[in-house]
Amino acid sequence: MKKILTIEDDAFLKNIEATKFSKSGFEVATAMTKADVDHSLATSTPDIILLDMMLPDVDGYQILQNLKANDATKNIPVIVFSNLSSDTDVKKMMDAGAAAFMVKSNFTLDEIVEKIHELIGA
Amino acid sequence: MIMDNSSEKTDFFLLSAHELRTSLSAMKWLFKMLVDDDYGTLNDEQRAAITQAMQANERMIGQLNDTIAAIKHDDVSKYTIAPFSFSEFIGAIVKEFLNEAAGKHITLTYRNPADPITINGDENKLRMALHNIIENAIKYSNRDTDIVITLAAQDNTAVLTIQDHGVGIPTDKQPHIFEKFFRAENTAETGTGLGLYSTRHIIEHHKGTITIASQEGRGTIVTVTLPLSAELAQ
Repeated sequence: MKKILTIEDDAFLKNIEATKFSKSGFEVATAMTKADVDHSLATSTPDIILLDMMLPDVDGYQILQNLKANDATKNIPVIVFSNLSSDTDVKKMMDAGAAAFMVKSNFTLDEIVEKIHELIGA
Repeated sequence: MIMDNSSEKTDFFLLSAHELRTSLSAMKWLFKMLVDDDYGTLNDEQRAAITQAMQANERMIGQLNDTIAAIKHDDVSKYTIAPFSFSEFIGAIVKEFLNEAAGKHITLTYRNPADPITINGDENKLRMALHNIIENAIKYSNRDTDIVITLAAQDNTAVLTIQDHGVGIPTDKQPHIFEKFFRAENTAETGTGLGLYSTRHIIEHHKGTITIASQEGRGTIVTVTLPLSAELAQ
């Protein structure tokens, strides 16, 4: 079973995402803070990460930079999943190594699942 | 919260828009999961109701995205310019508003030119601009009045006027109506205060002009001019 780590500080969205991804056959880990992310990555390595850009104690850009600077995590595809959508935000995250940038309100979760399959297979 | 500075208002709006998008995203995802039977099989009536809710949600997301685009100059400045029949375009837009106007017992009349008028422009952007003007005309018109939309060509320019018989705009407020977040105080109607601001931005990007003549209690005439197709430098 492929594992998704979803980094999302909004509990409501996090729970909907976790429900959909579980129903779609993934093992789901969630993180709402930097400490959660560190703990989750120390426990197991996900096949893919869904990353929000605005978190309470750290921004998504910094998390992405840390992931890409670490040999253990640099090859994990990261989908930035945010409601920020300026050209500047998109370029910054793609330049930092994101596999995709998807605006939450423009996609349904089954479209996200499709994208995940596209990136890591079934 | 009182904010006098327009850039503070922009930042505040964009932050609020982000929060709104978050809630709208949650609704969008849940509606879709419901119609996909992720939470059990729906009967036809339930599915129809959720489908309608999905459509309303999509409309809200579209409106919010349009507003965000309007407030960000860098997005508004992305134009796709091509020649098109402005006279037919206005006719089609007027048709879209006939029902809304009729609902307020307002007669919407389009006086189209004898000869077709072609301009170069971005149809989507101009549609947004003209929607704003006509929506305002309907919103601020009194019942049982008429709105007359006239298009003519004068001196290599398309001249479009939208005349209503509504509440009008107080003289001291008229210099401010194209400013970001301007809201008329002589009406209970609600709005974002961005409509005429983005409308002027779009018209001016097409090398056109927009002016307003208004008398409080009598009505308003909005005049838009745009260069005819040969006149707009590419």
